[in-house]
Amino acid sequence: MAARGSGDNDPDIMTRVLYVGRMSISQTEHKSSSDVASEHAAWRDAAPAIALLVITQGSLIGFDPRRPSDLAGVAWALSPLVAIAWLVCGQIRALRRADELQRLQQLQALSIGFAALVVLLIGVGLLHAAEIGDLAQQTQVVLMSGIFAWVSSLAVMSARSR
Amino acid sequence: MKNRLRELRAARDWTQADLADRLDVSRQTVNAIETGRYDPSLPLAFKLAALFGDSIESLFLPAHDEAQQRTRPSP
Repeated sequence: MAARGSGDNDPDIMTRVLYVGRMSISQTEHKSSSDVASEHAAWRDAAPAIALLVITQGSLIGFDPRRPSDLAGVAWALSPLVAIAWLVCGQIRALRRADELQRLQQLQALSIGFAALVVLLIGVGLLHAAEIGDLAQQTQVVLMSGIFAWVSSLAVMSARSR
Repeated sequence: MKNRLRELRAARDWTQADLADRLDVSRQTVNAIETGRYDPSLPLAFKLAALFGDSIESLFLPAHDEAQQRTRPSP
């Protein structure tokens, strides 16, 4: 006995399945114009800053920290900060462009990243007080971990609402 | 909070991206509202109501109303 309403040849069900399928495909493939505009703007902000960061970091490869710290040496050592400040400005612009949900997710992810950074910095401070490890290397690890916590939490929150 | 956005959008044959364009938000936001994972701000709720030509309270159903409707005996 065939179950009523569940037949493969039911045109209403087939039409509904095709309609839902088409809707779901078009929903995942298409982006709204604000999505496209914000993606383009994010790349316009980030691409030059990343290029500058790579160049300034690369130029530090030959930097000798033992040489006298004249003004040019200090400027050279701090040159990556320009690119980082650019990235921060880009992030602020992205927050202003974002809609209400994206802004909420960005701020939640930033607070998670900041919390991770604070906890790890306290850990590094304690290690430094106990004279364990190299402070410069640990600071780099803390920075990377904070950024990782921010980006990964944003990715998780964003994936949930896709 | 439940809402009738998916139903109203489907009636107009709009995709989520179409609705997002009309509201000037991301498609992700439209999806999150439709699935009840995110409750929109009051300005966005007013925008939605104006777009669909309906009132906010007919678009969005508070959780306690859902519970009351479930427990209310049918006539």
